[in-house]
Amino acid sequence: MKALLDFYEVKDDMHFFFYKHTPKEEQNISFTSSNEKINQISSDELTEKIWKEYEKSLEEFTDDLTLPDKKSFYKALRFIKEINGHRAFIKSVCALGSGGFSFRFQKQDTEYIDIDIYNGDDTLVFLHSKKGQEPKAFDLSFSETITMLKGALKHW
Amino acid sequence: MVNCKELGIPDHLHKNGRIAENNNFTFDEKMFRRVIPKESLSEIVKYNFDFKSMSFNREKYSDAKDVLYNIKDNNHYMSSHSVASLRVEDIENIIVLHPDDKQPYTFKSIHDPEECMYPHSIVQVLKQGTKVSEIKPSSVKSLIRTEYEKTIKIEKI
Repeated sequence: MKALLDFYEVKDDMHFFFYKHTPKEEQNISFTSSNEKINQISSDELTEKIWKEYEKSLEEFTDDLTLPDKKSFYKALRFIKEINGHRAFIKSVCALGSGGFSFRFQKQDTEYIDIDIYNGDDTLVFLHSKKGQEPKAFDLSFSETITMLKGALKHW
Repeated sequence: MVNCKELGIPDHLHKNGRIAENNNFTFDEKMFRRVIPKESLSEIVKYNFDFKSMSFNREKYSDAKDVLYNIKDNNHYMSSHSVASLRVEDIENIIVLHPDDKQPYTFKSIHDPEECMYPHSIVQVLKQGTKVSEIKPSSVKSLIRTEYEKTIKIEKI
């Protein structure tokens, strides 16, 4: 599949055009939460996963949920590009019922960091949960989130 | 007038003139919510919950599977969905402080019957005890989600 990540700065509709014209068999990439598989996952597969989550949310969300929007979709693509070297820690990617997307970075079963990318503003949430400690959440700018995440992952 | 029989909703779920009962919630009563299945509880919570006014069914007036009946469109029984439950206690014990003004966000279970779904309820968001329509900033929602993740169960149906 053609790499999408270099496209993220171009006109919004390009992404939708590209996906609409990607053959179905190429879109059908499995995504599993097993660490072994995640270590092998490519940026393209992650991008594909976000797209699928976006499409599913359009079909499945009920009226008491908030759909992700294009802005959060592109922010998520930008996020993948920025954290490219840390993909191995990603356990899951999920559309948020409150709008946007969430990435979970997991260290064994005891510690995780969620990056929630929301609709409508430039703030991302960095949430750190460690066994035996109260989870901490911070509303940060895009660049602050990347800096904080990379700093935290250095110790993993 | 909605015809609940035509929608395929079983008789015991119809409102039939019954009024809301907000004085008989017990802490261990379950609140059922229809959810799209996902790989983990974390994803179920992320995908299926917003923290505005969320719909549930009360256990006191329904079985878990009754929440799969859909009264809003033509797909009247959503067999591809799962049923998640939270106890009233789990919902109402959550307190998350606003990061700036330190005022607490809390949640209240409200019985809110629909014509064809008497058990229908909502969980209302309160800030410093006053009803609010949304939660800001987003970090508060993320913290609430971690609390839900600790207590939510998937029902066997």
